[in-house]
Amino acid sequence: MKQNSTNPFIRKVIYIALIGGLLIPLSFIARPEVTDQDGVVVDAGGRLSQMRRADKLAQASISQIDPTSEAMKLASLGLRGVAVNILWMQAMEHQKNEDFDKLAQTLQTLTKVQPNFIKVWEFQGHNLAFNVSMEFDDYEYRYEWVKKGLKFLKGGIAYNLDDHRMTDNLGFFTGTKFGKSDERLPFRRIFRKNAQFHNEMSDYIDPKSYDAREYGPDSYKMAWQWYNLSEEMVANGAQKFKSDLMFHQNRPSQTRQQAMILADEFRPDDVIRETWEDADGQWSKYGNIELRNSRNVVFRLEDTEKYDAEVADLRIKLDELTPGVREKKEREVWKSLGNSDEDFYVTQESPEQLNEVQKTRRFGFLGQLNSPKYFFDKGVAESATAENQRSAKRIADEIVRVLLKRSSISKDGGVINYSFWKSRNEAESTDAMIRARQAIHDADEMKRKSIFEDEYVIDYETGEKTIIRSGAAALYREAFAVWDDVLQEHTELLGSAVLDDLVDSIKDYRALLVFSGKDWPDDFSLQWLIDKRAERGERDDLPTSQSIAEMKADQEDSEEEAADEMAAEKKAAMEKEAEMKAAEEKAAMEKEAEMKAAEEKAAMEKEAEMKAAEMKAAEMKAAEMKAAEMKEAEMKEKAAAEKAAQEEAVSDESDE
Amino acid sequence: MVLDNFPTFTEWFLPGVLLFGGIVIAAILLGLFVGYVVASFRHGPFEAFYTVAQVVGEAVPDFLGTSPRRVMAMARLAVKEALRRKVVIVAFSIFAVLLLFGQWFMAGTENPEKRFMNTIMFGTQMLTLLTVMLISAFSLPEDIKNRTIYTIVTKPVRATEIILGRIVGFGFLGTVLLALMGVISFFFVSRNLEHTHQIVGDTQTVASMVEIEPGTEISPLTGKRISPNAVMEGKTNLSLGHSHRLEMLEFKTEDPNDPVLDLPDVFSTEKLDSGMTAYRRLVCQPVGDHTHQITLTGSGPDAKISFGPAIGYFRARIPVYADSVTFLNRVGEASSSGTSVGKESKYRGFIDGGTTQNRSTLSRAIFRYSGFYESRFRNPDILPLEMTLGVFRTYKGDIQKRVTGGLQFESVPDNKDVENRYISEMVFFETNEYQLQTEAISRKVIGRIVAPDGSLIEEGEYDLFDDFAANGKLDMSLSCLDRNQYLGVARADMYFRAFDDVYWFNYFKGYVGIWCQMMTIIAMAVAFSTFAGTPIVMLGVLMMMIVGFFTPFIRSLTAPDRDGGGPIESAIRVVTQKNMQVDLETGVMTTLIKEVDGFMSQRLSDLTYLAPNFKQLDFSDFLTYGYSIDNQRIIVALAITLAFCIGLTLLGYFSLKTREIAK
Repeated sequence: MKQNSTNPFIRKVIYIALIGGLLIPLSFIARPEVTDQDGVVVDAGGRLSQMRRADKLAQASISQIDPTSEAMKLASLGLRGVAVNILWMQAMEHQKNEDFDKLAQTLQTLTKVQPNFIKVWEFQGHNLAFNVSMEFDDYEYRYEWVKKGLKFLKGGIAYNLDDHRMTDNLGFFTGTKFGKSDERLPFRRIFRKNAQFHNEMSDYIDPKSYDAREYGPDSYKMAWQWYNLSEEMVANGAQKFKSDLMFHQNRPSQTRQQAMILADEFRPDDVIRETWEDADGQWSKYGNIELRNSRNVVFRLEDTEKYDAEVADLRIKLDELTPGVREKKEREVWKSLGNSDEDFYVTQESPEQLNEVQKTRRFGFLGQLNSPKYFFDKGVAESATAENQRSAKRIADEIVRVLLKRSSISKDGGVINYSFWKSRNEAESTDAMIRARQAIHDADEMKRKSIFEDEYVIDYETGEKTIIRSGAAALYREAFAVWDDVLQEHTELLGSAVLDDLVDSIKDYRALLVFSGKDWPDDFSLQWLIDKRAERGERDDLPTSQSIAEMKADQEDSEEEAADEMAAEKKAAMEKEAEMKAAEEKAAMEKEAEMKAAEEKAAMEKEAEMKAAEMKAAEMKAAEMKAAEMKEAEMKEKAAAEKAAQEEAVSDESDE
Repeated sequence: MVLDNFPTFTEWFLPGVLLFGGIVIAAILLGLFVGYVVASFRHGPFEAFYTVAQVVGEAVPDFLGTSPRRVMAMARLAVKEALRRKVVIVAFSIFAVLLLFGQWFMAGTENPEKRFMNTIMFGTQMLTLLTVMLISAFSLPEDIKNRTIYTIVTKPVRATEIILGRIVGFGFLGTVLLALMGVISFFFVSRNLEHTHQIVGDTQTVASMVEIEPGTEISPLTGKRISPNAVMEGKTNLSLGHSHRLEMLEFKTEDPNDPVLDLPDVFSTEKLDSGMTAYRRLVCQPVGDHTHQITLTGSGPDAKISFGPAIGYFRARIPVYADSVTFLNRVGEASSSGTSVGKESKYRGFIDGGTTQNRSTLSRAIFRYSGFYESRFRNPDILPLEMTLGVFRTYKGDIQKRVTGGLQFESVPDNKDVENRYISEMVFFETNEYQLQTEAISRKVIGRIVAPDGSLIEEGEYDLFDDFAANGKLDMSLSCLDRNQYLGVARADMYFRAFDDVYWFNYFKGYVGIWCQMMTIIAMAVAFSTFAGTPIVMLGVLMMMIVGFFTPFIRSLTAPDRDGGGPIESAIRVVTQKNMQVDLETGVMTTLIKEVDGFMSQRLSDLTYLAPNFKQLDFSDFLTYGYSIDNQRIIVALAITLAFCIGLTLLGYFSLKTREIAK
């Protein structure tokens, strides 16, 4: 009895003591990290919290704990998974029902329950900025939702402080949505004025840091700053989730995009030129970074020549150990490619002296020789004498290693178009280019306003004609003259990508000529460029000197034929007239005179008719040729015409 | 806001009466059977018969003899006991914490009132329901366990009074708790949304505004669109996470004594040579749904600008919805759903604006109103038509231009063959997708009278109520005027705003919904606690709550045509790792499985009706979106609650009766 009454009490004491006892080590190992005001770690915390921090599972430091998030997690009473599922389902339902305010609200809650799950931030941030924003018809609301997506994503940084995927996405969204969407111009216009937004984002990025001087805050510059945060994070030891190639190209490409879009928005000037210069500098810097690719090859994009030289040096060294072997092996390769031994000289010639077939063969041969996969030099090394074999093989291995780097430049560099952008950046940052671009911009502006011809006033007393405003056609001609100067001066530009834009402008000019019914000018200042490009096989679809000459010859031929036929007709009429005269000699003189007049008149009329028919035929031929050219121009005009018709339809319906 | 087609109380109740009666009879029979089976185990089959008969027989005098005085006494006891448990105090403290800290996270959006309302309603609902569940789940089982119940059952108290007393008592306590939370929340929300602004600039006068060049389309201040008649613009400071744009708009009026000219926000008036009066008004552009009244004191550039409190947060719009909406396609064929533009939600039907080849489209959405009488509107001279439209573009077109819509009215003659029709001119408007936009429709409309054969009789100005809707019926058609673009609309998307209900009354109605849920939970917990222990009661009630809150989803799980089939079929698929799209091999076995699954799914679906559908009792969306709660909905909610309370009281009574304690 006594035992019964005391037992539970003792049991309870033991339990409490045990619980208390277990709590001591638990509190010891779970002790959170303590930092001082400057964020310096004073105490690293217990083992559990260290592990948590190492695996980035939660806010291990007391000052970083978000009360709402923690409270929400607690409130789900261990059913966090269920809560997450319900919230995701709700979010999808709201999106389906187009109740976007509620969607945004549900997402806020969702991220409070799973704040360390990067994909949630990424996916839903993208959802808001890209999908939801596009649901709205009005671009101003679209802009607001892009902003909401960005703000949402920014909210995730605090929970994932050293994960560059958050900042990378912020950079990507900022750059792409404001700079590349169809609404980019109005978006960027609002962005510049949106002080409130800049203020809201200022906890990570100082608005001053993305101010593009007189053009105000620039979205691409802001994107650059986000990518810069990523770079800094990784430089400070954070894990990198992207390849070196892609990771490091983000920043320089933002500057390039910025220069490109600024030139679209404004008349190119020194600020834009300097932006190109900046882009060029950053791109070259990027080319000098050591990159490691997925094949674990470390290379620099700028080192093409260096690697070529290294290979050449190593091959000389190898050849010293294996005299005469190289040529023998090379001949074997040459033959294995299906070439005859007599043609082997092709491999030694410079490409300019070869025809197309020879060039292709030589290219294939060199490709094989320099492919790191083919191990050509290893084959050479194997022929070395026994005492040289070891060092020869070492050199061959070294050659393969350098060749791997060399091929990485073309393969990986090709992915991001390294050399193309390099030449474009260089070309665009010259003064001459800016001058040329300005001229084209002015002409484009006039074309946009549909002012094709010059506007002038005539003084009727003196007959003097004063041009008050040049039309697009005249401005294009002036612009092409500037381009002509620039290209003569900077011949290196001839192979660069900037010419693509120029060709587009020439096409615009031609469409404008077709629209106003004018012929291609004989003295077109860039005719030489068109011809040169045609020779090189570029399909620009512009009139070359040759095609113009052929067209003219055709025209002349048809004109001559028409003249010949006319003369023959006339002769026939004359003969007939003479016959008539002879036959009707005896008829009355008056009647004869009348007849003669009538005949003459008939002949004249017929002549005129024939001439008209000929002219028409020639015109039709010319028109057919033009039609093809006009088709392209028409397509562009169609949109404008459609809009006009639409307005007309609205007024028609209201009239009804 | 997605609005279901809601019937009136009679429309809801009458067709349901038969079904309800059937269920009641079935429940009684089932109850008797279960009671008999249980009694058979206890007393043997013969004795059981008498026991059941006795219990049923005693029920009649028990129910008839229930004394309200004793019920009230029991209720008082229940309240005292619950207060002693301090659960209510805990719930109230949690509520206070929620309010104190919740506000940190709620401001700073375009529509803070929605977020506030949503959170407050949800928080109140959850706290109240969980609190009453706790107090009612502990009550009876604890009494039985502590044997305190015997101090009551030895007194002349009937079992009905024990059950009813508890329901009433806890109900009273819950009501007080809910009322307190409601009143506090109301003041909390209105206090938190209270704000005003100041104009940004050196002075608080018109001089701080910037002149706008005539013809400017884009604001140099914000980069966004400005009104075409704006002559000046400005900006307010940031308050409650937003700022407003200010525009000085120029209007003209023919009437020199137009009452508009006396409004406090009129900046200047000027007599024009044409006899018209030009005037300028300073307008605060709305953010979300709210704006501020501006008052100008003084004149000229030194006129002082002062902002009034926020207008538009607390609304209880009473909408006049159309009875039906019919969609006509391009060639004028009618359908009830309109063109599908491929959206997942079929809520809105779409109409097209014709194609480039075929400019004239007959595509329309026709809203038919009945009972369209002047008396339903507070101001019948100007009818605010509120719309929330969807827009679908087949090509982008001019991104910076919105799609245009057209509205037209037509009378609906009772006899089409002999009566003339009134047809109005089309009114054009710019759409603003997903935003609630208002078009003011004047009751005097320009139009024509058309004979039954379609010939024109007369053109002129007619009255919308006296001429068009003389018989109370009116057709309003919506058309899309941009070629190759589409407009989407649903019945609830277009309505005339008759007038606004008193906000606090609407708020009260919203709480009636929570009250109904609370009473159902109390009745459930009390009834369950007559036969189960506290943990089981809590689990059971929680289960019912979950089913109640997710009724549509759970019901969709029991649909027999779901991908993957019913319970047995899905189990087979799980084991055999067959995906949901692959058909099971045909054969007798599969047919059998499908039949059994069909039967089981149907029974599972029936079971979901045992739990109350809380969506039907939840009116928080109405408060969030600012619509008046229809009285019919309240009546239906009360009826549902009453039905559950009666049913659960009966269940509690009989189960208590079968236990020794209450004999």
